[in-house]
Amino acid sequence: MKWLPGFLVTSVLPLSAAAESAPLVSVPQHQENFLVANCFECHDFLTEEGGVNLETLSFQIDSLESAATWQNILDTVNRKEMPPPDHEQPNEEKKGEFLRELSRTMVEARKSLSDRGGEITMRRLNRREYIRTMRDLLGVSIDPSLLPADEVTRGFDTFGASLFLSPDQIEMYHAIATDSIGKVINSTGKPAAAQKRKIHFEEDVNRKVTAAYRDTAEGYGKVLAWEKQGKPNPREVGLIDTGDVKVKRDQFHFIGLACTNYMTLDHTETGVWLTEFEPKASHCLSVNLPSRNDTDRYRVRIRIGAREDAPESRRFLQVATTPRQDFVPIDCFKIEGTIKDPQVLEFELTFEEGQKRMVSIRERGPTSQELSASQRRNLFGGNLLPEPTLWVDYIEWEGPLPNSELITKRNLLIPQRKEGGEQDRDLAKRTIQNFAQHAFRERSISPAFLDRLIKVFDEERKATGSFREAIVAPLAIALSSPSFLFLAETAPSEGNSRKIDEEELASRLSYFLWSTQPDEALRAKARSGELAKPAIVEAQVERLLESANRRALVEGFAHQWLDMKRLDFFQFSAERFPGYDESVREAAREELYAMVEASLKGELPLGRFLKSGKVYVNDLLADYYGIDGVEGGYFRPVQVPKGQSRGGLATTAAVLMMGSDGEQTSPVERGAWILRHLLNDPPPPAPPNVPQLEHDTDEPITARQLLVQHTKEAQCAQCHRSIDPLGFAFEHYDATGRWREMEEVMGRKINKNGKKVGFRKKLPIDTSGEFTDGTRFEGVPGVKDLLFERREQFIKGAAEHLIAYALGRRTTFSDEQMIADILEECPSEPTLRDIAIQITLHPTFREKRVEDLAAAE
Amino acid sequence: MLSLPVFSSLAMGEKPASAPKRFIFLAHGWGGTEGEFLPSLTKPGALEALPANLAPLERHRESLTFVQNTRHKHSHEAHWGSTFWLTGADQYAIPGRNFHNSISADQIIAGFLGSDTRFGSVQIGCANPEPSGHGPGLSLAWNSAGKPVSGVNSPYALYQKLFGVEDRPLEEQKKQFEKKQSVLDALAVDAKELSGQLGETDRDKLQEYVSSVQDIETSLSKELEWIDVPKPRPEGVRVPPKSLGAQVGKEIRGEHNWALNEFTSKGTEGEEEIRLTYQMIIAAMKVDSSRVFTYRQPVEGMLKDFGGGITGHNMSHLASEERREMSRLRDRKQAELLAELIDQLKAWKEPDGSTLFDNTTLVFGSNIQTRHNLTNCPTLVTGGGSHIRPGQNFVSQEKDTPLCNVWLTLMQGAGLDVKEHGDSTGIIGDLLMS
Repeated sequence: MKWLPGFLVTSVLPLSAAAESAPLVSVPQHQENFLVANCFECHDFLTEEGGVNLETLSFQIDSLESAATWQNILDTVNRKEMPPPDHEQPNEEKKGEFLRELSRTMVEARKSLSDRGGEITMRRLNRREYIRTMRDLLGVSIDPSLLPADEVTRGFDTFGASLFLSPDQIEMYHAIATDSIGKVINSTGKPAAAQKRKIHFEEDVNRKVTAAYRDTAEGYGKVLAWEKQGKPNPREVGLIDTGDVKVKRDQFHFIGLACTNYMTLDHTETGVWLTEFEPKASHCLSVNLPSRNDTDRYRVRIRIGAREDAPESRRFLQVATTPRQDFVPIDCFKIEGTIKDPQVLEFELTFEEGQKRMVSIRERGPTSQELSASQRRNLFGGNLLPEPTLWVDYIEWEGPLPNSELITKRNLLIPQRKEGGEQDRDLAKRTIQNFAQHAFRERSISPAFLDRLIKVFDEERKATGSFREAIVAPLAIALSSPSFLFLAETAPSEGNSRKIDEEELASRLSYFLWSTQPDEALRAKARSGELAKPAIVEAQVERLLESANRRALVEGFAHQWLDMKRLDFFQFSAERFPGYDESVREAAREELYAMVEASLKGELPLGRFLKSGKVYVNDLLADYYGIDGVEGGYFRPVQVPKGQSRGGLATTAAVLMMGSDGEQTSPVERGAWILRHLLNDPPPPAPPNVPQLEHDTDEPITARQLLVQHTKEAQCAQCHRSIDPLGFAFEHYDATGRWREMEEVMGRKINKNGKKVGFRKKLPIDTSGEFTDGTRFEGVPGVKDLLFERREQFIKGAAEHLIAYALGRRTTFSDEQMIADILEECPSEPTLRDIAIQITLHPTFREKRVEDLAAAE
Repeated sequence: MLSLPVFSSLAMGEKPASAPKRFIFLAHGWGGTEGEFLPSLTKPGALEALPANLAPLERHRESLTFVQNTRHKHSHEAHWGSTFWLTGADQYAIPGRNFHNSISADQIIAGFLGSDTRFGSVQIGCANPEPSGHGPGLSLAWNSAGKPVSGVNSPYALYQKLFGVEDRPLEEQKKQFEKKQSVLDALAVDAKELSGQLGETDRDKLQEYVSSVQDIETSLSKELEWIDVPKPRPEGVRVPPKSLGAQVGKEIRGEHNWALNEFTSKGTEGEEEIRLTYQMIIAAMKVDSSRVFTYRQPVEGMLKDFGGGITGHNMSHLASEERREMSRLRDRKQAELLAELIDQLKAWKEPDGSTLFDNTTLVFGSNIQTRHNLTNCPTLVTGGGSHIRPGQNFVSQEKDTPLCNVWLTLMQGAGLDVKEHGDSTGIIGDLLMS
């Protein structure tokens, strides 16, 4: 049951003005009988269970809030969540009557409320949009960390009402704009002379390995001598103290032996193996590139092969642009070449101005290198290090590659001086006008603002004597102005709604699908006056969704829709989850993006997000899932092998990881996520004062056994009986989303010395359960069937979210009709693309509505 | 164009009639430990003994006043210890909008006390305020339009703001100011033109932009006023390292996500961050850089010091003895630091012979009492600035007395002409010395 807001608002609002615009709808008073008979036992004024008090509920549906409350009652009773199954159930006939009548009332209420609310607040460009818009406008890349993250408490970062502005931010916008305009105007567009270097490492590595072996062996020799002499003062054998003895011994055992091992390997005269020589740092080859004050692209080639007998999981190479101490992989490649027949891996890297320029590579592995010797031995079959599998011949780089972007932008920015010597001031005026028109998304700059900017130009021109220097300030001001920073739409001149014009429509389409300003093609359609036509809009939406720029929508929408920020919360222990590393996390994230992208391309119906015979994987993730025969780093649909239960969102590694606490699975998180995202029935937030579940025996018990406590307390059971069983079904997947037969749990016992010690035990897993409406299910396939049968709820939820994202506001109760209309127009098994198209065709997407303040006040 | 700074009359040797009033508001996010932080509600009157966790404040016991049984009736966000603490606003005051706030007490006070100092008010914060239980906002301060006022979020930034030395020549600085002014003028023109075309809601949104520009203008003219007065050298305060406090509570958000990001390292960084900040507040007061200070404290930093591997949010649920112990340690450390701050306030003499403490009103508290409860907001007041009766455990007769009544009492007690604030219904006369 949800927290029901709005009682106060309802009782306080005077209704006279509202009554004029639409007749108010009331729930007939006799409906109260049902509430009295079935609900008041727990939800009256005194008990208020779950914070819900229906006794003081207003029967007049006079606001979106009170409507939402009644809709909640309707939904909850409809879904048989209330009264709870263990309570006395209402007479079926009476219940049916109550529900039917209430649904009718709600239809009426919807109509009466639909001409109010639903206003979209003008929004400033959010951080993602600002960065993309600046890139498209000026060809510059902006460091996201310069801008504050958009504070979105609930919903999307496209909600204008939730996007705030502070003085600091305006100053930052101005600083960024000044810097960016200056960069474009002063760019020559010519890259530095391209260079090409091929780097071989074997000489250097072999020298270091030999030296390291010699040094550590020498130190160890002293340790042996010290032992032989009966452990005198370590100074007598040339060691500093007993600490030094330990260091020298450890160094030999790790570094010395690693070097010995390396020297026995083949092919060390012609290339290098990627392996470790020091504890706590996986071996990594790094190449520095010349630094320059510009954004540059480089092409990198690596000739590399893997040992023929190397297992799949050890054929991955990570690439970073940081040194090994803080190696942050930006890409990961599977190596298909062999030692005999290496492949040449080729890719491009872009470096921003001021960024340190470096290419580093290493074998994929856990980021936490801090494994103890015993943990290492456990992991590497008794050895401190795994056998190396990847062998590198050379790394070659070439660049900077020609970059014509800035020069093109500069030419666009400053028009050609007119024949016969145009005055600087006139040229400045034309420049500002053109630029503003473009930057303000075809809204013309006001004469007053233009005058001001020309004044600024005059002052600067006087001070600097140069057109190029003087034009920077006015353009930077234009890019700090509200006309640029806000997606402004003119208010209707009469009434409370108007159809938006074509330029505004172009802007809405582009910020919805690309998170950036409209491109030239879209502007041209708007100028031609054709854009309002449904067929043209549809064609444009298809064009925009075909372009790689849709990535903005994929990431922006998927990340927020599916609450993916939780994916970055945990560091999984390298010892407990040996198959997991940062590249798995990235691939897991990418899998969700790939699914959303496929659906936006029209290839994946939303129903297949719930139950599917296919997963979206690349080579790395396929290996992680135990699927053979997937080559290449790109994501594609792959058939799930027989006997596995993957396929669909709920069993993706990403969702399973988010449903953990970084160590253990969390059936509660998993269940709640499914309710929230797959059944579109978000559970209420956990109440304050929840004690942590603790079990007081030393006997190991499963997560399921621990959570039984939830069913014992009525207050917990209310929500957890719908949450927990869904989560239990996924207990065969561990915290990192990998299959496990048994659950490993901790217990305590008294050892022979009488001390309490922890021990691990494996226990069988029970994945059966019962859904709130009484449907029983068995394990993952059972839950997926259940979800798929209820896919309408998921589809509606996805549509609501996409609509909210597109419109830049929360969808509310009065939007039910719009959501129904949009889904009505879609095929029966819609994709996100179908819904996106229907959103853009719906009148709501094409109108500018203002709140009827007279009614609200 | 340049107006003569008001303070210069003082500089010429005129003695102030009396030392200025000052205010410090310290917000500690998640609140204190249940049953161990506030004195008993059933023992009102003279503060005979301090709650166990506040033992380090014993030497100041007779200067402390607890005010109990107050709350903000509109607050219901159990994770927002600071958002409405000084405002008492109703988040849903405007139908159909999901966030509203109003001016905070410190900004009202700054309106009275801020005109003669380099900084009208100083807002101090920490790197990631949400995990420390502060809620949305840029600082404790909200301006007259109910929009967030920004602050500095690290000891280093605070140092630079208060004492950092400007090395550009004066002429160049002035030119820079004029340029900035013309930028702001132009932006205001565009905002005005645009505003005319917008509907009510959008215009209100644009107002955020307009008031931000006005805020920049105000601080610019203030800076200009002080441009040829070098910033004072702080006495006995070292430059804080840039990194101090940067790692506090990595970004965590969302309804169910408070439980994450536990940490295990030990140290003294969290403690140092607060101690250094207190020292800088004192140093700034000594040279009269500002008279109003607010500070959203980094609760998480301190927990990191203890190495218990528990986040502020989880600690505050007090769900296990281990967590209660963390909370206890945190209370004690806070009390210890606060006692040091009071020591310093008592030690410094103003030119008229009174101490900083005599003229300062210091509040330590939060909108959250403990365990996410928003009732009986923990409020500890000290200092002589508002003539509050010291050494008291004041328990309001009326349960749920508006916390804004306390703010109003403090303001009026300091002689400020304020009639009402937030949802105040009047002052609490019994708090004031007769």
